[in-house]
Parts: sequence; structure tokens; C-alpha cells
Amino acid sequence: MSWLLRGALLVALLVLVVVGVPEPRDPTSVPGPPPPRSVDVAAVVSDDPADVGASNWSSLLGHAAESPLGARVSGAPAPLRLIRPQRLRAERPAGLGVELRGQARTPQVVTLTGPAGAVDSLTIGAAEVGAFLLQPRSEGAAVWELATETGRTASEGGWVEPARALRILVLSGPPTSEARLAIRALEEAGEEVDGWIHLGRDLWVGRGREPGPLPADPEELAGFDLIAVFPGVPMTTEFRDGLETAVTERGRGLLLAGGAGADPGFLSWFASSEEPVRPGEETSVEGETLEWILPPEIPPLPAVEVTSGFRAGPEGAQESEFTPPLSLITRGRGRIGLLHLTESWRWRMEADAVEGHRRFWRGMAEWISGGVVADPLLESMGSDHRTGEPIRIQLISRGGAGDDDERSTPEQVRVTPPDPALEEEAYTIALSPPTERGSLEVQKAHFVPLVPGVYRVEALDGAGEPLELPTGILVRGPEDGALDVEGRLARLALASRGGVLTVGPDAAPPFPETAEPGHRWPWPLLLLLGLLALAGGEWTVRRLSGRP
Amino acid sequence: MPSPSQRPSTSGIDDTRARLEGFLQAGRRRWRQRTLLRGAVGAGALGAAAILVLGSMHLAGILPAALQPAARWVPLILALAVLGGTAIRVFRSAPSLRAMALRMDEVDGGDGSSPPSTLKTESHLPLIVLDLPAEHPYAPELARRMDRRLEGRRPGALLPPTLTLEEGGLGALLPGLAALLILAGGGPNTVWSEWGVGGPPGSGPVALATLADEVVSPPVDPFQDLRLIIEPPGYTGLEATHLPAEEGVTALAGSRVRLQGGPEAGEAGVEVQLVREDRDPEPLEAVDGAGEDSSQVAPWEVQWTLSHGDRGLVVRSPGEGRERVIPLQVLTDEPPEVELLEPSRDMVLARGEGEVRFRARARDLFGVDEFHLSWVHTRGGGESFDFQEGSREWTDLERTEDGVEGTLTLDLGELGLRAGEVLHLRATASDRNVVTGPGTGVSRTRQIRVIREGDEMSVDALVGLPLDLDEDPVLSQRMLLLMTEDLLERSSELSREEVASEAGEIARQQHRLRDQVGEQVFSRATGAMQPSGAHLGSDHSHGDDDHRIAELLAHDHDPAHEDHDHDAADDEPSTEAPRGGSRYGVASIFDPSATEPDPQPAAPDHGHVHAGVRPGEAGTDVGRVTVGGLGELPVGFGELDDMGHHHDGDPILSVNQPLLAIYNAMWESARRLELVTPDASIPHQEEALEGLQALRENQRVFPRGRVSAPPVDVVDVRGTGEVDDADPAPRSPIQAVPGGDRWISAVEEAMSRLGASSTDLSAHGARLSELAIALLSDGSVSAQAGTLVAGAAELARNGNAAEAVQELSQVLRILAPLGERAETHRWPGASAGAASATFLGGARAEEGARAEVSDEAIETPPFVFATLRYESGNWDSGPLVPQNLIHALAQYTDLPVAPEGVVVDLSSREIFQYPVLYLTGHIPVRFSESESRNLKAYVERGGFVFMDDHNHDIDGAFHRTATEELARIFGEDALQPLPNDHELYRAFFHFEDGPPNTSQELSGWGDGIIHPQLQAVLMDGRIGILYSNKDYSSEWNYHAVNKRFLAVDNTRFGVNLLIYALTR
Repeated sequence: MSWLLRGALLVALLVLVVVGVPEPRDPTSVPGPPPPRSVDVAAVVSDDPADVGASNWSSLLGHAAESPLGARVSGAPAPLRLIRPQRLRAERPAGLGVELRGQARTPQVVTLTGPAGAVDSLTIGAAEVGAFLLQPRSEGAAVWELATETGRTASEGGWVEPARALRILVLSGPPTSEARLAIRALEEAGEEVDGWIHLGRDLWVGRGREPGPLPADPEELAGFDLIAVFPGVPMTTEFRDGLETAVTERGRGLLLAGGAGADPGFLSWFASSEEPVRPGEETSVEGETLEWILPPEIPPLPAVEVTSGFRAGPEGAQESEFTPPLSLITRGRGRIGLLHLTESWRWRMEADAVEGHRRFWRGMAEWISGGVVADPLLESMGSDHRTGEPIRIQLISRGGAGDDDERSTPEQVRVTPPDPALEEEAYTIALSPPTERGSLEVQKAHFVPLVPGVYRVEALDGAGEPLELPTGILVRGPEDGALDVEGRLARLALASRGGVLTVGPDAAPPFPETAEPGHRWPWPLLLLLGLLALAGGEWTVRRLSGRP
Repeated sequence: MPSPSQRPSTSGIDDTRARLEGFLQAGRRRWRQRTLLRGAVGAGALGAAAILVLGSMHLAGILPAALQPAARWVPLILALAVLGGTAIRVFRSAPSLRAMALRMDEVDGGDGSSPPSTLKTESHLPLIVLDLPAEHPYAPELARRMDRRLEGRRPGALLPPTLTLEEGGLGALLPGLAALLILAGGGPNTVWSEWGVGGPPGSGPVALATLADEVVSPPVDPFQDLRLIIEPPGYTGLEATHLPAEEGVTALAGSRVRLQGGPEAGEAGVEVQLVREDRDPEPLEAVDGAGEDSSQVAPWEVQWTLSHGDRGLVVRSPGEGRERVIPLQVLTDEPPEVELLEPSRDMVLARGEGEVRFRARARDLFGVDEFHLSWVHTRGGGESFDFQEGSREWTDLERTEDGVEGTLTLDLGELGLRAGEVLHLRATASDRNVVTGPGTGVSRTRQIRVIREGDEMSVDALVGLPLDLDEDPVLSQRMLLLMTEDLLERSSELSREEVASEAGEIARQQHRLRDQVGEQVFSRATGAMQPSGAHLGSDHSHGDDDHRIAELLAHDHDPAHEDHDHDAADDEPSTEAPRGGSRYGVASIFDPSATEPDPQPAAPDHGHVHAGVRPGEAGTDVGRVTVGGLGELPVGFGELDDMGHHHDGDPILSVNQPLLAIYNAMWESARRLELVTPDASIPHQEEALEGLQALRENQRVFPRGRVSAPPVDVVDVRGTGEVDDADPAPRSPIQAVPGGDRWISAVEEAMSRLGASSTDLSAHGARLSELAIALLSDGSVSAQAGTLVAGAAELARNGNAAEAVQELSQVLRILAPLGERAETHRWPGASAGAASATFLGGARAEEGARAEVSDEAIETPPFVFATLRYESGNWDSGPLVPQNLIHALAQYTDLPVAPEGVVVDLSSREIFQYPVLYLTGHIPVRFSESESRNLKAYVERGGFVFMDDHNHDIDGAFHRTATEELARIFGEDALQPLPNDHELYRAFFHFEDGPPNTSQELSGWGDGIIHPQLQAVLMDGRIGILYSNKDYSSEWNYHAVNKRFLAVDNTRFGVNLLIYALTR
């Protein structure tokens, strides 16, 4: 018997070697159908030299040189897409969105690896968006790698801002439990809260005997990361204008809570119509029945038995029966939140959800204060940067308003390579001075990274002092995460000084969903494994029973 | 424009592509064959190498015996692993056609002139051809180039050689050497038998015998038979449960837990430690053969009684360095739930007679043990408050399915309930928990009060008119006594002039106090003021009323006291004549018996001219009283029963005899002080103090439920208060609440260790056990975290590193809920950039779209003042305080405020709706379990409680019991003095010296001492409970309309208190 088995084993091996094995899965393909693609050799060349390169690249051969390649890639979305957070702040959560595109029928496990090793994994299906909640531990460069079980990888990262408490201004009319306990929750979470509470008769807790209206100077309001407004604040047009400027132009956050969003002046920000809107009536809502849809940074209030006040916003009052408890919008550079729930304090006091209440307020403050606050603002054009390819950056700044304005003007940009050994090679790029003082200036520059990693880029004034928090630009190697043919061809075209034309996804014919090679059962392999198991079992039994 | 001949030839590029694909396919087949062959050779070589190493070790005698049984499998496993890996590589990782195309580029090589980042089309030609459209204009050219490259090429050239010479040699040499070694060792059977257990028969009896001698016992697992037996406390009637140790323990406190193991546990010397919250682990003694019942004797056992605070059990095998953490969850046996069904209301009776029926019900999960009606009989007040307590058994007791119901008819006559006394009754039940209890449950307290004649007048005298505070306050008698005693102590160190000066100052103060007393006596008699320095009944220079009083006093001559007074005079040789008044007069009015309340007030003798009114008798018409120069004021609240007495015909009935006695004692005291004999003044001071206390006892009537507090007309009051000196201070920040962050790095480190190394998992498990113990011992961290880490330790020890990491990631979510974690979201419109998307249905406004700015304020809910009702004591002793503070808040601020307060039960969930709670009382306060739990939860969640001792006694009944209760609920040191520069004193008005003194303190009410500080229970730096024994409840317990009589509003501090509570 044993010889029979051994013989069968050898035969099976022979069959495998000679006949071959099933077609394996193509490691360069993505799950589901690969995107359609086409190549137009030398057909498309960009007119903009900045698209193809500058400086040393200008010496490259022109259009008539040997095989310049123009690539036309489809606009079909990349199978694995990362949605990077607006800002990365140490010790603060930031949601890293993940989207799996295509028509994969089975959900995929996506694993995230952070600076400290494997972080977590997530199972998402096609057309779903998952989110990893990152919480960088310290300031500096940070890169997160993402990998699917099929081997597709992607990475995202940037420069993590240093940890610090949020500066929050809470404005309230007559003191309420909502305002008081919101302040307490934020303070318990470690934030710096300045509470201005109006007691009437020109008396304010936090401002003392401060006569007159609230400050309308956006600069003063911009001293806070978040301004939370509760009902009853004596509102003026100037103050509201100052608030809007602080939000839209300075990137600060505004939270309308406790029913303050019922003010028509505020409601218009959430309404698409130019008609004056009327706030919804205050009603009661059961805490257990609330349906939350939130970005990952904001943990919802726990589903507990509590009855709370609820004032629907314009869309809830006018369009549908359902209004989510919280509306969030971006407005200009900043973010605005409208909390329809007017009595979140009941979670804390009545349902003993102290921790949940604290997390909710902290998360809300973090998200709403996460707008674009840098001034000057330094940003890179494009999202997929590779070594050897120029990175275009632009600096948006406002020049000084006049001679008396001491606001520094950015005059140069310093680029620091990621490798500590190369830090000495940090170089600066001089910027052209703003043409008009007080106006919004956009200055452009570019540099060519040589090594992969997070480049630290910061704007400097004339004295070489940094003006704002640095920006981190993630640069990958030429082959990282570019295993698909389209990406490879696009890079190849760029490197050969050709151009890349991206066409919309509609232009590409739908790719039929077919079973990929390698998906059929590997019968020869199973046969071999079965024979191996039989042989091993026979051998074991024979040995244990004492037979030779 | 290209000519037709230059147009791409479709067949040309297609043919080239087909050739190319065929070429690449062939290359791929070769790749598989070569990979399989290399794998087979590698497997053989590796297995042979393992045989060589292990065999050499065996021959050299350095192969540990314990490893021998496993060693025989090592070569086979290694070979199979290599074969398996090769198979996986062949079937899953074979290069695609495109990869082969790239490989073709690599083999062909570039021209070397371009930098690495510059890619040439030529060098990527195969890749391009694979995907090139047939109609592409450059297709023919590229096809030609490709054809040229394919000419004469062999697919095998794309691949490295199958086996190098060195690899082939090694692949042959190693198995050969292994075969030699096996043959040298006596052939396969001998080697097998020597390495393994149970060799084949052919190896012979000698080999077997040798084998038997050399066989090493397999390692025993001391934890293999661990099991738990949980014996609930006997009173529960529950049966013991048996559990595997892995499941942990969830049991009632008081349960007997027995951890049993097999003999191997005893042999291994397994140690057990009990992890308790916030304490170091305690070792538990193991008992061999434990168990009283011989049939249940276990070879090894540890047992102990589960109690609150037990969080885990660490079982450790010192020999092997292994340990296991067993989490414990202790359940609490709730006390019985008791309801008093009858009577449903408190009662106020005219006389302490009649029968009252009581009916109550008690329920408990494990049965009710004792059930009775307990009573407290209180009388008096202040420092001389007295009470008795006891209990009555039910006359009819019926056991129901879920508890017991009792009925009792109480004869009030038997209890000797007198006028002014109060009977507090409640049903009390205890459960059968004799282990950690018994737990006692109480019902709501019902009070039966017997109304006392004169209550109404006394009540109104307290609540009708606020007392104004003087900048130079009149010191209390107790304060004067303390000052005199202090002077006596220091007199030896002072010159006579200094003693005389200080004694004179005390005498001056004594006169001022005496004037106040005289004012009371005199006003009640005639409505006129008594001049300072006069002695009642002795100064004949006064008007007719004084003469009449003197006449009256002459009739009330008490020889006994006369003797006493003479004695006092004899003790003190007079160096100068008393200032006015006859000593006879003093003696004549002193009637010590009058200072004691008459337990059975006799019917007044209208025909006899008698001095004053005894306590308990009304002195004026109920409903009106004449006070000072204010004329008649309305007095009396509620209904008057038939016990009221009227003495309209007697013009001197309103003289207060005890007050007269006090007045004269003070006169004597001052006189002795002026004579620089402070020691001689002390007996008189004590006499006066005693009289004051007795008087206070009679005057302290708790106007329970009889004072109507009309709603405050908020609109009318709004803004009438002066706020020129108000300057609300900014809020001070509070400390951040620490979370589980301090453990995060430890957990993350453990995760990274587990992820980085799959070996030495037992060591990882041990470290995780230590972490679990530390987490379980930390009372501030959820026990679930420790339990999960313990589970992860177990998983790691069992070799499941991946599952252990998963478990630890759960711990991270508990410790840092906002930490790194993953979630799947379904975001509407997620195709847009998430960070800039409108998440929740709010549409982006068009630029410039703006509604008109409205100045209409959004309504905010009004502040509602809540008074706490608790089951013991008299919670409603300050019925006008809420209205007064509501009035003050409306007066000084624009806050929306409800015109009336509410009363909420401390045991109800309703309290959590109110930001401020007010609690006061005179008599002992004992919180039930539900009240205690609620009070603690309310404060911990951010509520503010103002707790005021209505007696302001330094060690009075309320103060003593209330502070005891706070210590019990919040901890011994929780109640701390509040610094006088606390922001509470700047929250609205500024009180630079801390809490304002009350007239009750300054006038000698209570203990007669000014309390310099308030006390507080702080929560994260904020006041949770503000405790006062300054008696603000008396200070503010007046009708707000009377505030107009005050020079300075004494409720201003109340505004501070409320503003602090509402804004911090």
C-alpha cells in the first residue's frame, strides 16, 4: 500500500511539472475588472512646461526625440483610494478615509500600518468608505501604509502638528445647563475654554462689566480655534460678520449649539435658498432613537434612554421628516457645526453618560476646529508625488495691509528632506515679493525630491524665521503603489517628457466582469496535497505500529 | 499626414503580440518548472541538514531528552514546509505576462546612458506591445522592433539558471551525509527508537528497556485541571456552580470561591494572589485536600470569600514561570425595597392622641429578614435638641410571593407625644444577607407633628422680618463668655490696667447685647424702647409702663432666687453701688422654672396678675404683632386651632419672663466686669446663655408646610437691584480628567512585541499578565480592560499571537476611545472629498445669501430653583429661602427664572434635571441608600448642591449627621474648608472677606460663634457640594417684600452662589 501511495505521489508531481498549473492571479491586477486604458504615443504633450518639469528637466529631448510617449489614461478611479485628513495634529484623532472602488463582489480586508507598527484592519466592500481613526502621538513626519489582502498598497502621510489644547470661546446668553456642562466637558477633555456668559445688565462672566457689543474684529476672534455660540448672546450684524470672516477666511470653527442655530442669520449659512428661513420648532426626541451620521472623529452620544430638546434646522423643517442631530458644513476655509440637539447635557446628568458626553463634545470641537488655519497657506499641487518628479507648491498669503501692518510677508520657502542625514541639504527657494500689499497673493515654486519620505516645507520671512506650521509632503519611490499598468505608463510618459492626458471615466467602456484566471479550483494542487496527506498518514501509522 | 502605406498594419501588431505572448507564456512555464525543482531540492537539503544537526547533537549527547520526541519530526516538517512554500509560490505568485515582459526588459538591459529615473520607451517595449492598440500609428514600428528582439530568443533566457553548481552539490551532499549518519547510528529504526517514544519491535527488548529508562515524562501542566466552584452565600438559597477557570468569576459579594486544581498544581507549588482595587495583590494560602466533605476533597485548593474590590486572581506556577489571571466581577446584593403604603401624607395634629394605621411592604430578591416600623421622637432644637428612637413590630404580617407586608395601628397616646414634638416614622427592612450586610432598606419617612400653642407667633418672629447686619455687630453671649474666659486665662500676664480695659470692653459689649434683649422685652410690653443701662423693674425714672412692670415684678418675688442673688452679691464685695435698680427687683423677677418649657401648659389664670407668658402660650393676637417702631405687622400662617389663647384684657401679658431673667443676668454680668472681676461675671453669663438657649429651644419652631410662599413677580422685580458694585469674575479653568492614557503605551508596546515576534510567546504572556494585574488594581480604569488583557495573556501563552493582538486592540479602544481604530462608515456622497463634504444634509449656502439679522433673542429655558426633599429630617425648614433667592436673581440679573421653585425627592431621578439643589434642615439627617447614591451621582456628573445647617450649631444635630453622611458618601476627607478667596466670593458681587456673616451668628443664635469659612466637596476643582453651618437658611427665610427694610440686602451672597453654580 505504501508503495502505491508513494508512486501516486510521484506521478502527481510529474503531472504538475509537465502539465502545468492553473493560471495564477496576476499580481499587477486589481481585484475586479482592471480599468480600461489606452496609449497614444506622442499624441499628447502638455503646453505647460510646469507639467513636465523644469530646471534640469528642460534639457530633455523634445517632441521629436526618440519615442517620446504620451499616455492617455482613463479617469476611472484608482481601485484603492485614500481620503487624507485635512490636518494631522498630535494626540488628536484624524480620520483617514479608505474607499474600495470597482466591482469587487466580496469585501476586502484592508490593513493599516502606522509609524508604530500594525494598527488595525477594516473590512469594506465596493462602494463603501471606511475610515481609520488615526491619532498621531507626536509632532513630525508620519506615514501610514495601507494594504489590501490582494497586495494592493497605498500610503498617506504628512507633517503632524504639535500637540496643544484647543482654544475655545464659548459665548452664551443666560447660563444654561447645556452651555455649562459643554464647557465642563471640554475642560475635562483638556481644552482651554474661555466662557463669556451674559447675565444681563452689561454683566458678563468672563468679561466682567464689559459694555457694548461683542468684538467684531476677526483677528480677535481668530485667536480661538473654535467659537461655540449658545442662545441668548446679544447679536449684532458686525459681530456676525466678524464671525463669518473668522470662519471663512481664517479657517476657524463655529459651533451653534443649544438652539443658537435657530437664529435666521445663522440658518442662512446652512440653507441653499436665499429666502429667509424659519427655524424648526423645538420638539422632544428620544435619545435611543437618534440616528447619527458623523465623520469618524466625532463619536456620537451613546444610545441611552433620555429625552432631549431638539430644534430641527431649515432642511429638517422644510424638506424631510428626518433631521440628523448634527449638521456640519465647510464654509470657506473653516467649518461650521449646527447642533440640532439642544439638550445634550441630559446624557451626562440623567443617563450618567459623562464620558460619552465628554467625548462627543471633544470630538465635535476637534472636527469643527480642523479647518485650514495656516496663514500663509502652503500646499502642494497634486497628491501623488514621486522621487525625481517636480513637486509644485503654492503659497497663499495676504500681504501686509500697509506700512503699519507688522504682518510678516513670506519671502522664501525652506524644503527639508526626510532623511535626517540629508537635513543639511535643506535648501530654500526664494519667492517673488507680493505685488500689492494687503491683497491675497499666490506664489508658486517647485522642487524635485530625490529620496522618498515626508518632506518638510515651510514658509520663511525675510529674516529666515518660519511663519507658520510646516507642511509635510509625502513623496514615494517611483514604483511604490504604482503596480497598475496605467500608473506605470503615466509615469513612463512623464519621465520621457511626454504628456499624460486623463479622460473621464465615462469615456472608457465598461469592463465586463469575468472570473479572473486563477480563480478556478486548483485541482492538481489539491490532488497533490491530498496524496501528501495520505502518504504522511500512512507513514505515521506504520511507524507508530512498529512496522518498517 | 501619414501615407496609406504608413498606416498601421493590424495583423502585424497582432501577430507580434501573439508571438510575444507565446514567448512569455513559455517563459512562465519554465519558471514554474524551475521553481518546483528548486523547491524539491531545497526541501531535501533542508531536511537532511536538520537530520545532520540533530543527529550530531544526539550523538554528542547534547540533545535535551525533552526535545527528543519533538526532534524526530523536525526534518520532515522542515522539508514539508519548504515544499508547501514552493507550491504556494508556484500556484499563487507566478509572474504575470506583464511581469515577464518587464523581466524581459531587465534581461535585455538598458543602454546605460539614462539616469535610473529616466525610462525609455525602447526598454519598455514588450510591456507597451502587450497593451498597444492595433490601430495606433506607431504600432508597425513598434511591432518591427519587437519582432527583432524576439528573433532567436529562448524563453529560458528570461530566467536565472535552475540550479547553480553549488546548489546542486549541496542538494546532493546533504542527503548523502544524512543517510550516512542514519546508517552509522544503526539504521532508521534505531535512530527512530532512540529519538522517539515506542520504537518498532525490531529494535529489540534491550532498546526498549533502554528507551524506557530514558523516557522523560512529558511536562505536566499545573493549570490543566483548574476549576472554580462558586458557593453563593447561604442566605440566597442558591446552589453552588462549577466553572472552568477560564471563564472567570461573576458572583455575589460574600460568595465562597474555591479554586481547585489537580495534584500537579500542588506539586508545582502553584501560588495564588488576590488582586484588589487600589491595593497590592494579597497571597492566598493553598490547602491540600481541602473541603469539609471528604467526598469533595480536592488535591489542591484555594478558597476565600468574595468581597467588593476584588478584581482578579493571579495563579502562578513559580517553577515554570507561568501565570494565569482570572478576572473577578463582584455583584452587589441590593437592600430590600420598602414602601410605606399608609399613611400617604404627613400629619399635623392638635393633640397627641388617637390611632394611626400604618401599612408597609418590603421586597427583596433573597428574602426579607427583619421588617418593622421604626420611629424617632424629637423634641426641642438647637444644641438642646433631643430625640429618642425605637421600633415597633407589625401587628399583622403577611408574606407574599415577592416579599412581606405589615400592618400596625399605633396609639399616639401611648407614645406621650406632647405639643411641639414630632414623631418621624418609617418602615425598615433588612435582608438576610449576613455576609456583607444585612442591607437595610427604608421607606419614605412620615411625620406626625403635634401643634404647639404659640408656634405661629414664633414662626413669624423668625420669618417675618429680616435682621439687618451691623458693621459693629452685637456679640453673642457665648462669644462674650469665651472672651471673658480668655481674659481670665491671660490675666496673670496682663497688668491690672490692661485687664480693666479689656473687661470694660467686654462689659460694653454685654450692655449692647443686653440692650437688644431689653428691646425685645420692652417692645412686647409697650412698643417703646428700653434705654441702655437700665435694669428692668428697678429704674423708676421710666414711664408708666416701667412702673407697671416693676409692680408686676414685685409680685413675682422668688425668695429662693433672692438668696442666690444675695449669695452672689456676698461673693463679690461691692466697691461701688450698682448703677441704678434695686437688688430686690432683680431677685424678684428671676424664676428659674420659667426657663424650662412647661410640659403640660396649665390653663392661664386670668384672674391672677402673673409675670409674663410661659413658653407655649400665645402672647398676642395671632395674626398681628407689634415690632419696634414698625407698627403692626401681619403674623401667623396656616390655621389656628383651638389651643390658641387670648389675653386681650391683660396689658402686661406680653412680658417675656425668661427674657427678663436673661436681661437681669446680663446686667449682673456687665456690672461684675466693670468691677474688673471677670471671674465673678462668668456665672451670670452662663446663666444668661442658658436662658437664651432655653428660649431658643422654645422659639425654634419648624414651620413645616404652613408657610405659603407666593410666586415671585419676576417681571416686576427685574432689574430693581443695584449692580454698580457687581463685577462677575471670569471662570477659572478646571483640571482635565485623566483617562486611561497612561496605560496606552504599555498596551501598544505589548502589541508591537507580539506583532514583531511570534516566538517566546509565553514570555509575552507573562508580561501581559503583569499588565493585567496592574490594570485590575487600578480603580480608575474599567475592569474590562484588565479582563481583556488577561484574556490576551492566555491567548499569547497558547500561541495565538494574532488573536492576542486583536484582544489588545479592544483594550486600546477602552483606554483611548479616540485613539487609532478602524470603522466602516457609509457616508452619503462619499465620492467627494470627505474632509470638505457636507456630511449631514446641510447644503452649502450660496455666497452672499443671508437672511436679515434678527435681534430677537432665542428663548432659553428658565432657571428653576429646586429644594431637596429627603426622607429623614425636616427638609422644608426654610420655606421662604427659594422664593427669596429667586427674587434676588431676578432683581440683580436678567436671567430667565421660574417664579416658583420646585421640590424634588433626593431619591428620584428628577434631581438630575436641575443645575442647583438646596438642602437644609434642623434635625438629624440620614440618607437612604438611594438618596446617597443619587447625591453622589448628581455631584459627580456636575451638579451643585447647597447644603445649609439651619441650626448653624458647631456640633449640632444636623451638622454632625450631615457631615457624617457626606464623609460616608464622598470619603472622609472630601469635605474641606473653602478658602475665603475662592472665586465663589467673586462670582457676582465681591466678598473680600469670604462668606458674609449672618445675623444668626452675630446675635448669638446657635453656638454663638462666627464660622469663618464655608466647606465644600470639590469635583475636579469645582464645588460639588457647598456646605454651610452659618445658617443662611434662617438668614434668607423671610418674605422678599421685607427686603426693603434692610440697609444691605443679605441675599446678595445667594446671588453669588447661584451664579457660580450656573456658570461653573
